[in-house]
Amino acid sequence: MHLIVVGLNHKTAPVEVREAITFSQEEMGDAFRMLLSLASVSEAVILCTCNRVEIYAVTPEVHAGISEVKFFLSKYHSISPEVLENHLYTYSNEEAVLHLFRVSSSLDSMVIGEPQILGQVKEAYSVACKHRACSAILNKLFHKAFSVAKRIRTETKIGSSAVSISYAAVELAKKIFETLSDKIVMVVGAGEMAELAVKHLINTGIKDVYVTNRTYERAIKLAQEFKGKAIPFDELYTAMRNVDIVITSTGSTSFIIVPEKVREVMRLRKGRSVFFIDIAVPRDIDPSVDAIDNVFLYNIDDLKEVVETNLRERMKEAEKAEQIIAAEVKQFIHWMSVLQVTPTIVSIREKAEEIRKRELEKTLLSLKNLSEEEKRIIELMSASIVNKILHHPVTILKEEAAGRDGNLYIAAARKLFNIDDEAKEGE
Amino acid sequence: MILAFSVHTLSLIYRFLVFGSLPFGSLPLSLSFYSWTLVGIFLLMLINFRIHVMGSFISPLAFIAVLISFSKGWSAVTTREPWSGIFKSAWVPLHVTFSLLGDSLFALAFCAGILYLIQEYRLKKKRKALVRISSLPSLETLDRVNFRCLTIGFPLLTVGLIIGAIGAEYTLNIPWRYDPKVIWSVLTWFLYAGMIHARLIKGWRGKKAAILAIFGFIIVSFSYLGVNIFLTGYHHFY
Repeated sequence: MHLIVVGLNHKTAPVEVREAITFSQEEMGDAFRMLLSLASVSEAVILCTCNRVEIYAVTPEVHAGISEVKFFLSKYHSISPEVLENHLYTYSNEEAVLHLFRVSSSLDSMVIGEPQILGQVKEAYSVACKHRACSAILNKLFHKAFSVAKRIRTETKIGSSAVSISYAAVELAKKIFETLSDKIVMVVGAGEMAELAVKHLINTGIKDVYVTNRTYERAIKLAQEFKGKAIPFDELYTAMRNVDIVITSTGSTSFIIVPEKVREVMRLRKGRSVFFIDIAVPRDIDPSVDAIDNVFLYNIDDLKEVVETNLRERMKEAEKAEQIIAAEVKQFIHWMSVLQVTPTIVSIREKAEEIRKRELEKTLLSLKNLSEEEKRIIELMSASIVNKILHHPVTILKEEAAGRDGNLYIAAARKLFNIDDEAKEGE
Repeated sequence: MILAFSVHTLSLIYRFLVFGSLPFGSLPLSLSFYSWTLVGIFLLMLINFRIHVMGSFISPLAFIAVLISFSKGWSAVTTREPWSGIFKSAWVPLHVTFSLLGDSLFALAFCAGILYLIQEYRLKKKRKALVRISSLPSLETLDRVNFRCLTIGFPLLTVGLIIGAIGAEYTLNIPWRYDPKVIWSVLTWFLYAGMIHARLIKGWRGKKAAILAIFGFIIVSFSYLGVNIFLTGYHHFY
């Protein structure tokens, strides 16, 4: 039995191709039925995200398996095989395991370390299970992939730092404030990025959201969306006395928030820290506000810088992750080879046991005057001869099955012990 | 750290059983006791604050205290202190205990202040050094630790000073007002009183509070150690 993966991702295929071969939830039933009807596919998982489409399969023969899965993809989506061929990558066995581990640990993602992919892999696996497309090998493979991904999350810092502007803002807020649950955030103006940052803050758990806008109606509308409070624009500084995080994102061409006023607010706040996030371009907050004690001002470029530094850090962590994965792949391949050799070993033992029983019966028939005790001793002896003779070949077989010539050893063993080919390999 | 603290606690109990006194009779002894209270208070604070990182500042401080204690005379730690009349009263142990507890809290405020300045520098700097920022506690936490230490440490110091003053009237019949250690301690008291006042009334939080805590601790350390080394007075046995 062999593992294969056929797929394409954001690196190998443009979005037009990716969306052309995507699988919708409703079609999954048909897709799995078609896949499993292929002669060389015994197990399959379809992983389909906006950045990748991949089919993991178990096949008795690598080349046949790969070409059949490719054929399935082009036929199912009515794309000519030639076009598809340019974008597809294929991996088998060790490389396939490595690929899945890297994908689910988010090392193969567009943004390295992003956390969504693991959920998507889990979802893909559970859909496959629902359609009874998974059995021993893929079950083990995917569960292993989940635990490897989890291990990498906990043992490296690959996902610990924010790599989006809005997350970076939340992360920074946590450096300034002990908890956000008693803090109030105020949004000045409206903008996609500002709204995203507020949503992240709400998800993290924040006490209240204030919204202000030059047009009061828009403030009310946005406040409703966040279940917050609308503030008239001219009460900006009055409200700021109670606000701990200010996100500005207005279309104003001059500074809205100026140091003199902020100083006044800080005095009234008795120095409690304020975190200003200026997402607007041109900027809304006078940069000299940052010079005031206990005031922290980050503009869009500062946040971008944070994100870039974090990304570089992630790259470093990714190297550690690769090492963990390499070790785990080795372990899995070992498990697979043992699995592969197990039926052969079972057959050898069964055959030996059969011979032993037959010969023992014959012997006992010709030795009629034996006591029960003597019979028992002879039986024990026969069993121990069989065990002693089989011990070494079986040990070697187990060891070598994990090596490069594993299949050769298995074939040789089957021939040497004259095991009939009825027992199917790898079952 | 917990282990070291336990061992130290055991040794203090042992010493108490053998000599029947708390270790206050000399500077080495009080330093050793000081490092014990410092670590003890820090461990207590961990229950309320997520400031485990501060341990890496507290340990060296406690270590230095023990080191000075040893360098000043190992024998002093293991032998009975030279008894003079004044140690027989209950005033001295109380005076020293309260003062040292206060000092330990100020030391913690000092560590929190340093961490605050580091974290604040990194946050203000923005572009650099942000990567490793994650290990430090938040500014608010550090500021809260700072203030908590002040509000507990200050009353302890006050009680310590009052007991010292009354005790001195009872046990020593010399004018205590001109002893350098007393003068420095009173100075310290005013400094910390001012700090709490500034915070509550004028809102000197965060950076200013951190700098004051650092400054305060330097003064405290001087009135504790420096006065003994550079000046003389009747506190000479400490």
